[in-house]
Amino acid sequence: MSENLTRRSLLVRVRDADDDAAWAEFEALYRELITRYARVRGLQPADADDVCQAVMARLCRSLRNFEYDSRKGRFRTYLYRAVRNVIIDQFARPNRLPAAVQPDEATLLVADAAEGGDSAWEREWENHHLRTAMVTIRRTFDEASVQMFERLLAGDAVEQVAEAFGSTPQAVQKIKQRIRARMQQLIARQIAEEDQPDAGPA
Amino acid sequence: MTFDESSSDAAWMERLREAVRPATAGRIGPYELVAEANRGGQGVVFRARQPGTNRHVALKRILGGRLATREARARFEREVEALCGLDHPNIVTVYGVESIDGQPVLAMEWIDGQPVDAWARGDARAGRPLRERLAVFLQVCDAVQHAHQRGVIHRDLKPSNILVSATGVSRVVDFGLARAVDSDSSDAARLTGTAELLGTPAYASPEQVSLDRAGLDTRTDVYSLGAVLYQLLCGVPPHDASRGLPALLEAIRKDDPPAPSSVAPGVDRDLSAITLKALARDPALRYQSVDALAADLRRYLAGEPVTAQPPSLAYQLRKLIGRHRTSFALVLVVLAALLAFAITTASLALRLDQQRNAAVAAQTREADARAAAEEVVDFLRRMLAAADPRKRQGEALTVSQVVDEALQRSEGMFEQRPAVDALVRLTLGETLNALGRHAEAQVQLDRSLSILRELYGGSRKETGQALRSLGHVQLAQGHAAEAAALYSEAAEVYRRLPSEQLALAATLHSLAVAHLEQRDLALAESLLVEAQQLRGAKPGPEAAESINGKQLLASLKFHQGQFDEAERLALAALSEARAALGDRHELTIAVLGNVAVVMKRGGRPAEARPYSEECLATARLVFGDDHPHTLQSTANHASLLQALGEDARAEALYTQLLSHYEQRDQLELPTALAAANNLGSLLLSQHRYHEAETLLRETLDRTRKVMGPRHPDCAVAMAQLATAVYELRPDDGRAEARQLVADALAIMEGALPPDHPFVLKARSHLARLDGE
Repeated sequence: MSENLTRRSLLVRVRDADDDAAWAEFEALYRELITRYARVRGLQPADADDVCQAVMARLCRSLRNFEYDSRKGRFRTYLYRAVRNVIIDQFARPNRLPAAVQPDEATLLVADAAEGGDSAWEREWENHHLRTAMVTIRRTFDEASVQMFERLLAGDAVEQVAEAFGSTPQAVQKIKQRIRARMQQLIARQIAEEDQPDAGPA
Repeated sequence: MTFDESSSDAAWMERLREAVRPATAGRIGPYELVAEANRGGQGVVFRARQPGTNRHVALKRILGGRLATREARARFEREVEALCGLDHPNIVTVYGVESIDGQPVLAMEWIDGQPVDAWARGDARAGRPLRERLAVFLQVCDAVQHAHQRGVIHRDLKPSNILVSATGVSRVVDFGLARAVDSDSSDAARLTGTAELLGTPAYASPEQVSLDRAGLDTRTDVYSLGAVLYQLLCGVPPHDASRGLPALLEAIRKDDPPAPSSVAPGVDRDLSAITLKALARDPALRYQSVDALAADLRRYLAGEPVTAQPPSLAYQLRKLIGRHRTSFALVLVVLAALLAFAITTASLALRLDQQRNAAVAAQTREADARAAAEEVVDFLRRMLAAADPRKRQGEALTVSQVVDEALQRSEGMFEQRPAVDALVRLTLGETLNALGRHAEAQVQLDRSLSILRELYGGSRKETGQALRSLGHVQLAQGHAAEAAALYSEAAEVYRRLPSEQLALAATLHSLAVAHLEQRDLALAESLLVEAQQLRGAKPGPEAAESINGKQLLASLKFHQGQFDEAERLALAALSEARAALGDRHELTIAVLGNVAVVMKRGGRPAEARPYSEECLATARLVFGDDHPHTLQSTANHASLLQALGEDARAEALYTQLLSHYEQRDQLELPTALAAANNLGSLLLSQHRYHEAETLLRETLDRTRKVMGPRHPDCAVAMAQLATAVYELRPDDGRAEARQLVADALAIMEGALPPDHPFVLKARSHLARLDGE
């Protein structure tokens, strides 16, 4: 899929019960966000998986029933509430006492949600968009550029990468800048799409 | 949008790296893949998570084609079975072999480490110290010897098969795999035929590369260990591999390598001789076992004559003198701290506060102070002399023993000279507190303070010092409010002394810590700002103070829920501490521990692990097993292991800690309380409710007594106890469980935001207890 094609936003496509590909794409993108957030909030991996499963089931229903209305609020906030509600429900499920709270080092007991917002969610949500943009980069840039960039991302120095690819540090630097600039465009568009799925491509 | 578009390139890359770091990257069989680690000679190594646990494993997929026949497969599985029997802390544990998608996959313990040659190079600035390199090499020797005793020869020892963790623990991988995979062909055929795949055989023994197929024995590993040692000492393998494979094989068979002492400047003749003996081309001339090699290295490290070289009388004598100097030097290093304090106190005592001085009989006091200081120094000097091993038949003294002796001798000695008495007690009290002997410290410091007050009133630096030390004693025992009162009093003393602004800053810093402990974040922050301003006014603040400042700020941000900022500050403090103070400084160790805690609570326990391991290992090394810092690090590490799902190890550490505290009647110390609470949660998670109930009741009583009934730690213990009570007695226990949860909730609602998982859990728990 070329990113330049006019396309319906993913949030619109998942409403179509026949568009399995859309749902698969949606699930792959958001599953990671939800799982990671649940882990950050201190859930064990198995609990985080449960939360993710339940949120997905809920989203599938609410998106296809048009319960979610982008005019009433951002998807990001809607998703956040859904995740939080599931976390609460999960602990309130009958026949299962909550796992004991994991206490911690005596000197470092935590209050983890900063006032006025959930910084952990913000961070994970941002990471989600970085990941999503990276998927598009991998799909749309030429292979050599992507490989060079992945090496940089793996922690190699610009000089090392240049040497390995028989290129110059300047050229590698330039590729990095191009990808960064492109990712910023992509993220801006992803967020616009997420906020106004019905408005058509930005 | 919220992304910071103006961030530096490096910061942006780091951000992206965090985002794309795989949480889960697919599966191999039942394993959840985390990442592909590397491609080596015998296969591709994946990092994976074991299903149902959070345990990371390394999966090695044996490259296709090599085990084509059923016989080859059966033999491979037999060999692997032998590997599973190797149980040694420096050998990577092999869990077993599984057939996944028709291919054999070896499941092993996952090791976070780097090859020993890369590790030895250290960072860009300097290589690892020689002693550290040798210590790691000796671990490898122990591992190989262990395998030899069980009939397993490694056959492919080389730096890339020896991984060293950040904490300097080495693990040998791929034991016997060379044979397990390829037992048909001779080593020579394997090495020469597949050299491309395996990399150069620079560490292989002459008998391995020779074409006449003599049987290999454990001495081939002795040779390879010698080659690894050579690499560790010289930075290059013994034979030059750059001239191509045939030339290399020829050199291994026919040439002696240049002596390490001629290649690397820091390597002396003994060490060089040991290395060359291991590398003898004729197996009969080598050390005949790995143990013999290790024993000679240990002799070298202890300054004893080594067997690798015929000893002369002068040589033996030189060694003997050197050895005694070393062990006495160790005692001196430890005692230097005491002496340094005494000298500082002495010189400070000479500079009486000018204002006060003018108002009172100055000269008498000054003479007093001078005499007092001289006597303190004299006393400590005699303590040092008594610790000289030459006078004690070489018996080494610990600091604790020296302090015991000092306590005994000082008793009654200075009755006629109260000024001296006060300073000696102050010194001893601080040392006792640092050793974790809080009750004894309290006695000495109380006495010191009352003498100082009687002599000088509240106008002396030493009075402030005694108050502050008393504060430390309280804080170390978890009495934050008492500590704060003492620190405030100390600060008042220093405020009256214009020359003591740095001491005032340090005291305000301590006061901030005490308030942080009580979760008074606003007050802590304002004190911290004031302390920084006081220090800022002075030119060139000490590195330790700057690090301490960052560290405390990190704790503050952490308590405010700003994990990223807390982590950034803690990591900055860590690199500053490493650079300015070295890896083994007390403060570096403390910062390491905090980095681990911050990362763990930021939701990345696996990344926290190396920091925590390094913290614990260094603390053990520097402070010994019983020191408060070591105990705190142990508790934190146990909690991290618990978070990583390694319950058995965590439980062992908790139990060990608690029995330590119990023996010393110190179960009320904060670290003991935290460990007990955590062990409680572990027991609950394993449905061991009876044990949990007993433990948690005791812990709750103690926490209430020490921290006060409304401390958040009480709420944690209450919520846990409620679970145990309810699970054990769903009917009779319900009322009590309900009350416990309600009380816990009341405490936590004041302290935590309403959507904090703890509050949510407690609330739903309560609702259910009411509703059922």
